[in-house]
Amino acid sequence: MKNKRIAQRYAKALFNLAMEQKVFEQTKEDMKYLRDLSQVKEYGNMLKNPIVPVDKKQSVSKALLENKVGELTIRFVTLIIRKKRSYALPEIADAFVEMYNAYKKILPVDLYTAVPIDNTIRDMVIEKIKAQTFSNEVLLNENVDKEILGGFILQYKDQLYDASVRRQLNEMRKELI
Amino acid sequence: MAEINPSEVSAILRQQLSGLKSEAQLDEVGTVLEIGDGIARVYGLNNAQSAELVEFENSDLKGIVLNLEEDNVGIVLLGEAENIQEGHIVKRTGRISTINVGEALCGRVINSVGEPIDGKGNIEGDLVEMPLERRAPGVIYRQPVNEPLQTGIKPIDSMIPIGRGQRELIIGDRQTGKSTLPIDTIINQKENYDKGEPVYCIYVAVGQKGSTVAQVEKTLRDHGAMDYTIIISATASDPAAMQFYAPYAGAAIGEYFRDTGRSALVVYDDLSKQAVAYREVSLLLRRPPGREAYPGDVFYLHSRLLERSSKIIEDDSVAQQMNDLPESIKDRAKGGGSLTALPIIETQAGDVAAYIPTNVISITDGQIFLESDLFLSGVRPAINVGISVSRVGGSAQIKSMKKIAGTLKLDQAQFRELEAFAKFGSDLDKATQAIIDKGRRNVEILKQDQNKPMPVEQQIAIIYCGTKGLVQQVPEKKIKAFEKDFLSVMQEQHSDVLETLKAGKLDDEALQTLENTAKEVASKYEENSQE
Repeated sequence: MKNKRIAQRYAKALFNLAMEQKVFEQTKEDMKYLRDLSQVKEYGNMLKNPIVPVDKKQSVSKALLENKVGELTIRFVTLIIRKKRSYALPEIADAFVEMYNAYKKILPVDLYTAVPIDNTIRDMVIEKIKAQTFSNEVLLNENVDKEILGGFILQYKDQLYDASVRRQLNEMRKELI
Repeated sequence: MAEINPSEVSAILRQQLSGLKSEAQLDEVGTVLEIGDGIARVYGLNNAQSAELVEFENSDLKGIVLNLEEDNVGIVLLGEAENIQEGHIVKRTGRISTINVGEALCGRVINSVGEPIDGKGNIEGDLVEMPLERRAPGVIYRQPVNEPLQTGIKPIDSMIPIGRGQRELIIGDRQTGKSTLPIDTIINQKENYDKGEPVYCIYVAVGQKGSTVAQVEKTLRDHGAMDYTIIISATASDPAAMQFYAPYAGAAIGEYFRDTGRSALVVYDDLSKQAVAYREVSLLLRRPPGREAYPGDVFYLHSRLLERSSKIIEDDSVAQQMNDLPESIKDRAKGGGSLTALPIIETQAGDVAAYIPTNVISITDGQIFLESDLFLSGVRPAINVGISVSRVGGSAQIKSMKKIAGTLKLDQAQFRELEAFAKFGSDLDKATQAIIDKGRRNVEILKQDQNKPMPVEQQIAIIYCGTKGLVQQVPEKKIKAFEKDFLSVMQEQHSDVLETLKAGKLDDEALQTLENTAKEVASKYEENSQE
């Protein structure tokens, strides 16, 4: 979170360039790949570690990414490492995906329920959100959380719709005590 | 034992829960990035407004949004940040911070957000929501100060008069009796309360000891002054945000009385501690420090607060159009109300040229300087009359006082100048000696005990004796005894004269009575001195 500002600047540059060179979709996939890759502990630590020399980071990254991602992405990663911003790489990737989603009007949504939901409910929820938020597509991320006891919690962007039994009980407690 | 009726129990439970909203609603939220030192940084809350109240989930903690930055918001906390961790959710409330105000607050001790802290239970009754931060009334809704606010303190009412709607600074070192002046003033408003035209008093204690606040409350209660007084307390142990919002809460309460056509007096004790609390929050929020490490807007902090004191125009129809009048009191807005402010500033070793004192001096309509030298030499209240001024109060002084005390300030200034010479012990000519003698007696007359405010008519009577030189023959040490004697004679035998003085009239007959009585009483003390 701390590198948010840096991440957004770099992501914006990449975004515009990818649009220009018409490798938009490809770059998005690359960024997703990069994000997953940096979740690998060894690689993530290396990126964050300031002691590892720049050319080492560059050669490792190149070896890992070669033939898997587009040429633009490789050039971009090399630049980031040269500018000593490699620690922000995962966040840059995140920021890029966010920008892509905003551009395509895709809305990632977190849904918390006490029990797993079935397809009909899922479709209903997605349709509802689409209509409410004027988005083309909804990426539903389902989580099962027994703690909420019942009902559901919906979260997207910085909106929260809390229709859980836990909240209602809490509110009742506040009213009485 | 009474029988238990289950249906009754459930009916009461249902009633208690009737206000409960079980409907879920769409909340705008953010997540805590970091929390501590009384502030939180929160990611999200994209639409949050400045000064909006926010709630932390899983706790009763509330906060106020102060910084809106590119990628996060800075929030000051109004309580302890226990049990809150990174990643916890923060909710917008959509409300700008407010305080619930009503007559029911009188006699209570509350904190900066209006919660009672005197252990006397909830504040019941008709309460309206008033915003803590509010723009001051515009020019067309005001009128010049024209009504006196009697402090009951001789040197103030005679030489530095305060009018309703004025802002008069009380400034001095520690231990010079700064807090005593406004407390006496509050006690002196009892007369108005008994008459049915109360001046509602609000005493805001910022960064003081809890014991001091309790002492003030006791003093006011003992004098029957709590019936029309509200104490807002943010002690030194409260969060910094509570401390710097306390004066705004006081102003909000005062505005409620002012905008409903009544008079209010608010005492900010003291604004230097409030500035320190604000500095603390500002530095933690990484706002750039300026002079004495105060943030750039510390002047605005005080100017916007003190600007809210005002005398509202008498015309109801104009007053109802006032800018930023909250919806909650629109239907009961009236003209003619006033909000008088007595801010207090504590100086360090008499340094009035420090940042905060100069700021507040320039904002207010005058200042009362208290000096520790005077205090220690027994001149109490320790007001330095030479440099204390009231820039607008003169027009609010009642006629009789104005006439009698007109020359007093000049006389005392002259006396101070000559007193320095007298210290050499050289021979002085008669005229000089007379000025010094008169000055010394005036100083004695202007002395006053703590918590004993004096009605204005008595002040006029005794000051007349001083300025006319009727006590020249009374030894300095016996002036106090003379004063007591003289006033009791006046009260017993010439209460009609006192009444005319109180009404602001000053005729020859009244003056003659004053003169005769003074001479009569003074003669007793002269004889005694010769023995």
